[in-house]
Amino acid sequence: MPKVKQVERARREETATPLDAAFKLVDSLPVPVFFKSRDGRYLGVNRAWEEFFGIAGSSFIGKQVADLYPSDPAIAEKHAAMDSALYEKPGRQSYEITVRARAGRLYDTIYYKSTYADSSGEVAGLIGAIVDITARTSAEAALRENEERWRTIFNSANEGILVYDRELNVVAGNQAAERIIGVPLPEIIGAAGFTSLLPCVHADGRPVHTDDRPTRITARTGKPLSGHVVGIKRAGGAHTWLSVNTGFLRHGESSDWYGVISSFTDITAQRNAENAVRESEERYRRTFELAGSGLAHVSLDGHFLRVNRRLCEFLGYSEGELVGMTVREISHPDDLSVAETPRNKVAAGEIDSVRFEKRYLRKDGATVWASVAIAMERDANGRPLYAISVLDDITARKETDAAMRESEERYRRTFELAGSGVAHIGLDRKFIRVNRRLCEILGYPESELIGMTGREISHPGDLDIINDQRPSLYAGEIEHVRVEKRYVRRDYSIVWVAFSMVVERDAAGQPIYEIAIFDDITERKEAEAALAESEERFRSLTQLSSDWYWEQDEQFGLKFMSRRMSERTGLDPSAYIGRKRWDQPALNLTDEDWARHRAQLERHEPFRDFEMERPNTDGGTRWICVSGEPIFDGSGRFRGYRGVGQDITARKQAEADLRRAHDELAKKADELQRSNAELEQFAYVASHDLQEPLRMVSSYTQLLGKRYGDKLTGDAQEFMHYVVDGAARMKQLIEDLLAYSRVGTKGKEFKPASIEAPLRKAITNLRASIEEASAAVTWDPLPTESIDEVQLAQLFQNLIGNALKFRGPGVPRIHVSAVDQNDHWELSIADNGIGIEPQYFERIFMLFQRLHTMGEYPGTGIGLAICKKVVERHGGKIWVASTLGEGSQFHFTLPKRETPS
Amino acid sequence: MTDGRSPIEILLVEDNPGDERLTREALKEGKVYNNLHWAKDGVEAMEFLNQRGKYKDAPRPDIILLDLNLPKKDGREVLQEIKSDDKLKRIPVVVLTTSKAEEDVLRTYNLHANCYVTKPVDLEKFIVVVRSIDIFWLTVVTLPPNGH
Repeated sequence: MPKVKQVERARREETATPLDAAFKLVDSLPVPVFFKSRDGRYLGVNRAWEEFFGIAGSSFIGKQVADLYPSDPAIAEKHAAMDSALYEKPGRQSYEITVRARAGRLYDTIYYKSTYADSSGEVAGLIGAIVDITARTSAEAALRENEERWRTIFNSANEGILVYDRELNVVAGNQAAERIIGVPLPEIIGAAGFTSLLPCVHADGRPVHTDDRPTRITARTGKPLSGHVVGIKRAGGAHTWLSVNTGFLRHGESSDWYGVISSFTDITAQRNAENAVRESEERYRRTFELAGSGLAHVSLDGHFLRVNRRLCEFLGYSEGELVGMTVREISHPDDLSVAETPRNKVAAGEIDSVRFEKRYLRKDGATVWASVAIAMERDANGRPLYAISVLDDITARKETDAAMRESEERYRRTFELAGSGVAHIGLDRKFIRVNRRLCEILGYPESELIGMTGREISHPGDLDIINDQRPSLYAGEIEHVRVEKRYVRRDYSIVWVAFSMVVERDAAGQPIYEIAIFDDITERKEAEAALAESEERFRSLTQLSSDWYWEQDEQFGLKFMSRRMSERTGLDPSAYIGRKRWDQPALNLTDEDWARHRAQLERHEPFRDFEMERPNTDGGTRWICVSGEPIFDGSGRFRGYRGVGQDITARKQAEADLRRAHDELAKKADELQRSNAELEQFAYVASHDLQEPLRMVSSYTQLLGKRYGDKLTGDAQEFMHYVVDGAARMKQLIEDLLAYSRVGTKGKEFKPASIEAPLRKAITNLRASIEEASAAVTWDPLPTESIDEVQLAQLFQNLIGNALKFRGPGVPRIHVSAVDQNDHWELSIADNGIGIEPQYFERIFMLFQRLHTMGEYPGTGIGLAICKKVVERHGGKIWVASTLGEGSQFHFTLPKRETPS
Repeated sequence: MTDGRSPIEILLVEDNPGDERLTREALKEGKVYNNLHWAKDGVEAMEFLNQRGKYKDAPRPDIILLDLNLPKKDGREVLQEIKSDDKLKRIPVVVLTTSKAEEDVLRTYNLHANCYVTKPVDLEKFIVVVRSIDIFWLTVVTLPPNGH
């Protein structure tokens, strides 16, 4: 027990040495002190320690700290840990710790510890003192708790709180105050409240003056304020509205106050909300009434509860009529169920509001379209009260929509079905959109064309035709580009296109894209080329021919005449240009001729070979022949005449010569005919008149012979016989001659008749001779032809009579036949008579030609001449074939004439 | 030469005295009982028929022998006037022609001569013709009753 010894020694030697004195002091200190060895064993404690722990020190010497807190190992461990820490770093240490001490109670303590060294300087242990601070901490804790509570309230209050001193300057404020006022606390503190820092107004908007400050009012009146409203004006005109309460700070029950406390809450939102509600209600009322839309409150069973003016106007009912009616009553029959489902959904709360379009029937029966929005007004419990319906008249829009749709559709169809190729071309020159026709024209499928540029498929010769004009187009100097150019189709064929292009611009006038129209004019171009070629050909032709070309305007004034005219005619063209055709004289035309020509032109008829004999400057004339055709433009409007002219002077002269020759010939023919007729007439008259004296000679000779014959001598009687015989032959001659002349002068009209008829007549006339000669006359069927029956009978009679007269030794056989020779008949009379020698074949048809003496065969030599004349009068010819001694065949032809219908 | 009846009053209109004489001779040869009156042209013939001038007392002829080729007024005109005169149109007219051709011409006028006789060259034939006229008159023609 060296330690205890030491303590005891210390006590004993308390006055003896400083050390003893220190021990005595320690022992007498009211502060518990203890010593511990390096290994943690208690070496000694003082009286205060014994009292504090309630343990006798002597019993505890040598024990460790764990023995001190048998039931509180945590405390022991803490101490031990602190000891270790101290040994780690020798020196002083202090820490607060709550320990269990006397009576098992807990004490708040501060341990102060310090190491000490032995004589060798090694740390030998520690000395500790315990300061019981339990009482202090309790008071502090109570105060602190109180303060803390207030501070918490102060700081955590939603109300802003400012504390003012006696001079009404702010000495404290909470965070809410800072937040509500919007000024940092340090700036507020020391100031005369926020009303001095910021412009403030009363509830009615008047500015708050210094005396009106809530604190001043409070101080002046001595009464706290409650619910005093002050607004802080914020930049931008908004207000932060505060409800301010004030109170006094006093010591105890003292009537004197040393400060003022002010609490305030931000009622801006509330106040705004109230205003908003008020405004909203007003606005709603006004809105409801003045709304451009039709508004209605509709009960759950579909009756109108409230309607606005616009709705009344829209539906054509008065408010009085509409309220009480059902929605169903004014709905279009076809749209009765349109609103049903959406309305139910809104009523069920599935959706807030719904919008749909339906038709209504106005009072006047008209159908109107409305866009309807329905929302449900509910009570606080969410139960539907009524429906709010907003109706907008979209009748016009519906119509416009329809028109628009139609227009768009039309546009689309137009685009697609356009007879022209249509393309939208981007500003990068690439095709954006093309229609089918364009694909056809260019020969590319749409998929290939889109994205290509027009330049890629342009004909190399036409590359820059459009580009040259683009700047002007984009600058707005020209409205469109119109060109004709060539493109190379996909199959490398060339297509001519009439290209026109405009620029589509946005509202700001900026180009968006180009719209281009393509028309295939290949055929036209080819036609033009062909036309040009044709015109060239025509031009060369007119250059080479005698013709010239002319044009007349709508008033028939000559506006163009090719040079060829003056070259050909020598006429002065200036006398004709600008004038009408009838302004210049034509020697061959009468006024009536001109009027007719003019009328023809005015009827816009073509004319041919209009001949004019124009006087020439040299005193002669030129014959001009013009032909013309009216010109009509594409719309069918008359544009004048064009045509050709020809100098026909030479032809006219030739014609005149020919006509003169012809006239002379005709005159000669007439003379010849007259001469022939005179001759025939002469023959007729002569033969007729010759008969008179002949009859006298013959008759009186016979009368002489009859009365005085017996008185005459033989010679006289013979002479008289010759007179009578001569007179008889002369009579026959004259009669034949008369018959011959009568063929030409007394012929009858040709009439269709069977040729058998004159044949039968002839046979009848010859019956006596035929019977006398026992002749056989036969014939084939003969055709019907246009003939002079009397003359043909004479013809047959002469021919058959000849056959009988010149009959051979046998029975005469005479046969008549006809052969069809296409354009004429050939008739033959064949006999078996004596025949004719060939050298007489022609002679026998001549007048007075006879082959036999009067003694052999009587006759005048006129019969066959008459036959020839008859045949020739019928347009045919007559000839004979014969073999002497065997017979003759007389042939004659009769041309076929058209049988008159 | 009467056989109890009146002679036939014959008016011969003929410009040729040879023919007048020959006719007279032929009538004589044919033993026709007649009074032959001779008018030398158409004008004279019409005066005779209308009993004008020197023919005031001329008889109404029973038959007229009319030549066509007459001076002043030719046979066709005379025939026309006779046939358009109600008093005369029943008198038979025998037209004496020189040729068949004349007959054709006359027919075309459609003047309804009662008979056409071509003057024959042969005397005997002429006598036969005149004789046949006589027979024609005696046997066929019944004279219409005299209006006066």
